[in-house]
Amino acid sequence: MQNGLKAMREHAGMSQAECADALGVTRQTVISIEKGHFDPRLSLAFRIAALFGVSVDQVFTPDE
Amino acid sequence: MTEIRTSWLIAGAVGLTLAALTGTVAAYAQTGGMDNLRLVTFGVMSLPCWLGLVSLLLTQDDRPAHDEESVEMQWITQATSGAFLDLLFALGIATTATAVLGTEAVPTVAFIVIAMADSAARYAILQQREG
Repeated sequence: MQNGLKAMREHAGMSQAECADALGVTRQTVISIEKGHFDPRLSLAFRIAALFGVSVDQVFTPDE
Repeated sequence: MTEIRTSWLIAGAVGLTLAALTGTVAAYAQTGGMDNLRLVTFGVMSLPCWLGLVSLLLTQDDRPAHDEESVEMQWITQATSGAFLDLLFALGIATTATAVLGTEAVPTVAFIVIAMADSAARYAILQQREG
C-alpha cells in the first residue's frame, strides 16, 4: 500500500514526533508508515485521514 | 529528564529490595538458614529482571494513547509468534531424540533460553528491516 503521509505531514508543517503525538502512536510508527514498511490498522488510518482533514483513500492507495 | 532519573532511582531502590528478598528466600528455602553465597548469587542474578519489571511498571503512563496500534506492537507479535513456532519444533525434536536415544530429558531452561533469544533476534531483524 502506498501513502501520502509524509507529504501531508510536511505540508501541515508537522514533525514526525508531533504527528505521532497527535495520532497517539510512537514516532517509529510514523516513520515506518512513511517508508511504506507498515500498513496501519483501519482505525489508525481513519485517525490519520481525520488529522489532515481528508478521506482515507486520499492518504492510502493500493499497489497496482 | 528529572522524571526519568527519578523513575530509575525508584526502580533501582525497589529492584534492589526485591532482589535482596529473592536472594534471602532462595537462601532460606534451599538451606534452611542464611547462606550468603546463595543470597548474593540469586540477588545479583534476579536484579536485572526486577529492575526491568519495575521500570516497565513505572513508565506505563508514558506510552502513547493508542500504543497497541504502534509498529513496535506488530513487531513483538510477529517475533513472539514466530519464536513460539520454533519452540514447538525444538520441543518436538528434543522429545523425539530423547525418546529414541533413551537419554535424559533436556532441561526446561534450555527451551526458555531458546525462546527468549529467538524472540529477541526476530524482533531485532524486524526492527532493522522495517524500521
